[in-house]
Amino acid sequence: MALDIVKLGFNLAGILIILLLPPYLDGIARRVKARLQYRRGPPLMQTWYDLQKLFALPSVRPTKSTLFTWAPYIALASAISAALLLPYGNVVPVDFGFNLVVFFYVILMVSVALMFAGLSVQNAFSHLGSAREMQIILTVEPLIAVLYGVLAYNAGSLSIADIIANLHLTPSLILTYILLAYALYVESGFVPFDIAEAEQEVIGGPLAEYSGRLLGVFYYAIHIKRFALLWFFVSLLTLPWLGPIDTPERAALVLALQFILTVSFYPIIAALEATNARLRIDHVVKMNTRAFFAGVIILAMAFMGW
Amino acid sequence: MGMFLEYALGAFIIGGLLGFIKDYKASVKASSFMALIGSLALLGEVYNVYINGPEKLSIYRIPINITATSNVFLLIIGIVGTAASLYAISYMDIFERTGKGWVYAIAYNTFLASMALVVTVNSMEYFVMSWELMTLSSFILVFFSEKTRDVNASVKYYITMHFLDTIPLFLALGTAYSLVGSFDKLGFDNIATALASAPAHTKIVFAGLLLIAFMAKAGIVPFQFWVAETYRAAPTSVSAVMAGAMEKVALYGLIVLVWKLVGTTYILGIAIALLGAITLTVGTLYALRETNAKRLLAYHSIGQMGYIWLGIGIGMALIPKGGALAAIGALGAFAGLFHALNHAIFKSSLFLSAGAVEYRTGTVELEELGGLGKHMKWTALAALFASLAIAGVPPFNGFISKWLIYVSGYQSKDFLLAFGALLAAFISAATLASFVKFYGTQFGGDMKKYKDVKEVPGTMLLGQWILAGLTLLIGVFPGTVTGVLNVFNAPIKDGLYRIGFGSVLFSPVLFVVLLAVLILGLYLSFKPEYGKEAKPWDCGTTSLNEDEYRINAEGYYIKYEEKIGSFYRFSDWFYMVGEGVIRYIVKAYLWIASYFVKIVDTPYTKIETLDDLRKGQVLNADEEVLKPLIRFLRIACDVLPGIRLGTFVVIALIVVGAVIGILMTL
Repeated sequence: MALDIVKLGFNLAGILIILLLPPYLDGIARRVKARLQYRRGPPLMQTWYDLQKLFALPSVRPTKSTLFTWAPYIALASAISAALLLPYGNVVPVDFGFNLVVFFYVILMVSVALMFAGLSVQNAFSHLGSAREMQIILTVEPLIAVLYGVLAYNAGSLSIADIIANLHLTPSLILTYILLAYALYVESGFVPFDIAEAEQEVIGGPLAEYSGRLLGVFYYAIHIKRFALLWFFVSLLTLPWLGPIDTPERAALVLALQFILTVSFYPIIAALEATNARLRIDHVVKMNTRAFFAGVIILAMAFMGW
Repeated sequence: MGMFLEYALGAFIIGGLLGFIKDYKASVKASSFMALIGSLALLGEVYNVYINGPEKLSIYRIPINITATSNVFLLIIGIVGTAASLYAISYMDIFERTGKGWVYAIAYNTFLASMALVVTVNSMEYFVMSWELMTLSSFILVFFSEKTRDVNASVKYYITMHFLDTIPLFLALGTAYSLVGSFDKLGFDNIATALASAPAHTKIVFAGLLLIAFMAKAGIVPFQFWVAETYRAAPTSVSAVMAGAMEKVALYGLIVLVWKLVGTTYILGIAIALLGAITLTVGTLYALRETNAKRLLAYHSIGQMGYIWLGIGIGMALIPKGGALAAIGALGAFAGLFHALNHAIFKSSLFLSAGAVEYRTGTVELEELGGLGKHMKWTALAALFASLAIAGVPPFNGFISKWLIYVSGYQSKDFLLAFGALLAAFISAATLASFVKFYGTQFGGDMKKYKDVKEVPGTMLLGQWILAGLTLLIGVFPGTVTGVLNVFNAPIKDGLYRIGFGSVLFSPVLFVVLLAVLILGLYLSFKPEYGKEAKPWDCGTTSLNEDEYRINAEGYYIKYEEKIGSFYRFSDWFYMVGEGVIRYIVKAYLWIASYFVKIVDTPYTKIETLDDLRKGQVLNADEEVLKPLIRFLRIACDVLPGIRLGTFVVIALIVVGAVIGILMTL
């Protein structure tokens, strides 16, 4: 019974982190960016304030499409579901399939909702944004497929629990971490890969026609998605090397480590964002195609035992 | 016992006969309805075999053996046939101007019946015969619209099938005959016994011939060139059956005739898996740049068949290895078969949706369509379900089977199979891209051009929703079909609420409940509040054709397609080879034909293309031989009534004299 309470505690901590942390992370990023540009920057709560304001505003309605109304909620629900599938300490809040493919597909559903939302309105900008979002996914997915291959061969299973338990360090694994960091960065849509939304170019892409509360829901979903991808990376980076996590105290320490790493990765991301300009879609396709061929070599290395 | 199959065949025969009703509409409706009854009877048979186990019987002295494997394919034919036939009851109206209801009635019912026979007969000769019947009836259906482009497509299809299916199959039949030595003993069991003691090269020849035939029918690279045009040309309900069921019949051949009869080795399995991996890549990336809805779906059929072959290939490669790998192999084969069922369901559903759009707007060109989501709500939702299913988005059925294919490929410890799985995972994104376009261009946005479009009739909606509903049902409760599907005894873990292999599990029910609770909870707690309504933002332009204010189908992924252009150039080359071969075969046919056919109006016209044959009135060789006789008889008919006795006597005398003269000289 006592164990259940501990588990419940971790679940609760996980859920609180999922719901509350992501906008803060964005706040951190904004502050870091500002400081890099010799500005004072907004308070850390600023993204929360923005969301609060958006939630309070009614939306303008550009179409009668039902999909347009529901898409933000589907995106947010998918992002939260994906985040619930990650380990917090040693607890996975809702284990509906603790393996790589399921996690990435559920994360992908955020983008799917975003794209269909963009296409439900008669607006060339949002269509363009949706098509761009899809092209980015098209080039990132092969990299993630390489990752499945290396991890599944290295640990003998696609299950994340097995991967955490059985992963062993090889040169190919280190390269895979680098590739994974790159792929997740692209998939999160940080600058220079914010091509789909590209505010100055295609006035927000799929989000062009969204306003008020619906826009707020979408932003919230995107923040949670970015958080989930980062938390996944941090977990994969740390958990396999920490040995079995069997006591609540250890689990709490691991959770603290995950938390600290996630928070401390964000300034790095912000620095990358602040020092880069948006790429063109064909550049991204070219870069990612190259990364894919590099990935195939990494996979071959993994199968040779390196 | 076995009664249902008989009922089904009976229904198909009655359906064919009903075609002779004079009125076009009545005849297509009645025959489609009988096809529906027949397909339902097939499903009855599936249930019967599932409950009572495999059965052997003979219908009209045709030996039938409904094994567990046959049952899977009967299920596929039954589901697709039911939905497509129901749909056809209204859909076939749009071909009224051809006025040939009887052609459709006979060909369509024969098509369904022959497929049911192919997957159940227990003898090589009947297998080949039903197979040919299937090809012939589908060929007739492809040119049913009688438009020039469609007729050309159908001829190309038929000639391809002749060279790549009929010839290899008959040679294989001959090989089998030479093995067993009698036409009475061509049952699969006898062939298996004979093959067991046959020399290795006989086996290779036999398996190779069959493999060519099945690859061609399934549209596996390099034999994929006929698929796109054929499925585009056929009436959409027929395309649905061709893509949903006919391709799977080739898979049945692969499993039963190649794998089970001849046996498998690691090399053969790898070859099948790699063919699958190449096919899924080529088919899907070609689909990505397609702007005709039916051609797009056709290329995806090629791609999805690639997935299925990859799964079966993993099984064929790993099961002979035994041990833990055999378990993964069985999982792969199971996943392949599962994907075959799923593909049948969502691909037919997508074809039916494309047909519904065609029924109301008269076109399947994505460039012209748009904004239909508002007017055809239920068709749009069905198309959305099936699109998500084919793209492998959970919780739809496509996700489960694709995911199991990945699991078996990635965990196979084999670089080539893992690479196949890698391509499969990547191509899954390309499939999504293609269906984002498929859905977005047809149903997204608002277009004034189509503001008066209405939803399609009830039977067409029901046909779509039987399939679209199944994509969700099977996706959430895969346990409903795993019992029928698991003919390879794969050690999958399945219960009411989870499916998986070893420690890799997925619980669709839990996922759906979680997602639904979250969506509804979020929706209700932050209900959307709409202020004013406004037109989409167009940067303040003053004169803008709003229908054009969007991205056209070609422009969606143009940058991506440009960047992977070398892939297309490389594959186009293969494509050209295949096309070229068929072109020369057509030429050879025409060359032969020129000796037997004459164009009547302008006697010295050279026959160079098929159009030459079609334009002029032609005279076949047999007609030419008989023509003098016919002419004489005609004259005789005209002359005889006027003959007097005297003339008759004179003619008689001349004849008698001639006869005597001949006898004398002899």
